[in-house]
Amino acid sequence: MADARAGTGARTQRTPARAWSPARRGIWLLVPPLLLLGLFFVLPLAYVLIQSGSAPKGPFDTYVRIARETSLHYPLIYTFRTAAIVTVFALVLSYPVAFLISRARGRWQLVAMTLVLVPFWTSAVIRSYAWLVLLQRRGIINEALLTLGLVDRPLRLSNTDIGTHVAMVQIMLPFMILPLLSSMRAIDPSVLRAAAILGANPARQFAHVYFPLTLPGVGAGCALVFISTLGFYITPALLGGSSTMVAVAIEQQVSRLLDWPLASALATVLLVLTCLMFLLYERLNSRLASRGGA
Amino acid sequence: MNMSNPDFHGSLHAAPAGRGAAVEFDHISKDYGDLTVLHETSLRIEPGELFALIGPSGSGKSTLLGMLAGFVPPSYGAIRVDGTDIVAVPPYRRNIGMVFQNYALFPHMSVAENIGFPLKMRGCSRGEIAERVKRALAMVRLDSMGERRPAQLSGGQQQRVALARAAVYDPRLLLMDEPLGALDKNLREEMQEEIKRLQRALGATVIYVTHDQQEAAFLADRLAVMRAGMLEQIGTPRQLYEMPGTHFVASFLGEASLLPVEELLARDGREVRVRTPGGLVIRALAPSRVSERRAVCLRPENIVLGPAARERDNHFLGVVEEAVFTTGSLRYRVRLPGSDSVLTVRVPSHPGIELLAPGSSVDVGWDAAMAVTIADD
Repeated sequence: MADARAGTGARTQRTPARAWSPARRGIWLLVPPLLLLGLFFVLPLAYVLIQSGSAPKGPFDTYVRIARETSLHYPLIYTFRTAAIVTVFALVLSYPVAFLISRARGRWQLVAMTLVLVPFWTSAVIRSYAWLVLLQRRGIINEALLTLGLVDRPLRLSNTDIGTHVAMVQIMLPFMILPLLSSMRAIDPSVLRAAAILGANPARQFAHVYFPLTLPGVGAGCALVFISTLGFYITPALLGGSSTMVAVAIEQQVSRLLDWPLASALATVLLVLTCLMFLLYERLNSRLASRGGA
Repeated sequence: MNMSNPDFHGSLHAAPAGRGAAVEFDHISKDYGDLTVLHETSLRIEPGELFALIGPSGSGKSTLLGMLAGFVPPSYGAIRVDGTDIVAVPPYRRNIGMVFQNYALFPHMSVAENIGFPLKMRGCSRGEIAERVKRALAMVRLDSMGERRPAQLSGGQQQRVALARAAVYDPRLLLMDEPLGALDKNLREEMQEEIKRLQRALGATVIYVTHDQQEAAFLADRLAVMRAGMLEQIGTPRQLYEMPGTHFVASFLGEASLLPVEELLARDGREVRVRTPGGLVIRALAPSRVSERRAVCLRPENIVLGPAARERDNHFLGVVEEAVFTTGSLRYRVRLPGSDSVLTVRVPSHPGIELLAPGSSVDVGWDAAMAVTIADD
């Protein structure tokens, strides 16, 4: 009996080397995506990194310039400021919309979801042009205001910060609404009924129970919108005012000043800052999750 | 009375006897368009009573409870708590405690925050909240769990938190909507004891919804059987089990064998002699309204098998159709002579008893007092 057991023990010790494992079995499935990413993403990215160090005055010259030249700080500051503004407005506008969609029944829910998703499936380029048509000097908004006699001269809407922000917020709305909606749908309605019977009026039900339970969705939506907005190019390029987003500044460095190393360095800085923002979000999120006891 | 209870770990207050609220449903009903989920119903629940509403799903018991909590507005009628109509009062001003089927604990709050929530909503000071939460935790024996999240607790522990949260603000009326439905059998029995103990300690009126008839019989002072949006019968668990008014109540509470009645032969006080379609003459109790009574109801443990059956008021020679051992008892299906009627019989099991073979003849008997005529519907 003891011998037999020892025998099996020895066998089980040997087996792991040859054991069938679903994870190992399917590993070759990773080859095509890795090849694709390697060739078309990692290599060009590495090339950008190398190029950022190819300035004649030494490999770190471009980064020193970015750190020293205030004219290069403005696009960065402006980009983060824009991302913050767009995120706040997208959140304020999306929360009630997501709330109503989560409460809607049957056909209304379908209609509302379609209204959210159709623009989502439309390319940002097309929507930016559409906003240009709406906001320009002789655009629909100005024509309407003039016809109604509300203004004497066309308002300057395009090529201003406000116009850019409006368009960006609109483009970003689905990225805010969808995570909010999924967190709202996950709320057990009996939890709100419990809050009510325990003495919480509707405002307190919202403040103490509903809103805290949507915080994961608020976090995910804000992170998506903020991080996506950092990389905005086409909308500010088309509608933007005198201040420029980093992506626009990069394009200017390349096409007007032909300064490839500096453009590459700016791109690298933007990438690193974006990754930092993402890490920050992850830290906040995991803290939130541990508070939620999940 | 709670102070003399050695089981009671910490009183929320000195519970005066009779501090529970009186509840009265006055001709209330509920319909959704053409669909009536609750037909006109009137029901009075006494202060301090543990009243159970039982019935299959869709029978209207949860609708009745939802109306009392304020989640379901009644279509017609009044609901009075201590004489005051509360139909127009929103849930958060009703001062009613409630335990939900899935506990409905706040997942983003600790156990202590969950229990303190109703006190916070009532504007209690931090110190008072801490003190009362501590006592409530002791009451449900979760003293060391205050800092945990609901997700870190077992089902039984979550249930106790829900109980503490519903009781911490001393509501005079506590509603429980299938509170033990999600627990396994052993835990459920343990929690039943706990709920009974708590109810006695608090002195509150408790309205308890369940579809588990054993749970209802164990817990309730009185219970109402509901069916298809109507109250079928109201009474103490014993009254309902021993004197069911209808086929539905008889078979919903425990096991019952029903013998159809064709003709009433004689009546002598509460006792009647009736004849079945198969020609058997049976003596039984007829509590009231004989004309409506269409069947005789027999409980499986009241039927005697073997020679002893010959001395009973009713005695027949039956045939064993089926014989099974279940824990604690031998369960037989016995066919009565000259009829389609098959009785379910349960006999206590012990090593000295033989299991009768299917096909064998056996004496079957019962006293008139153990059979009740009911409305057969």
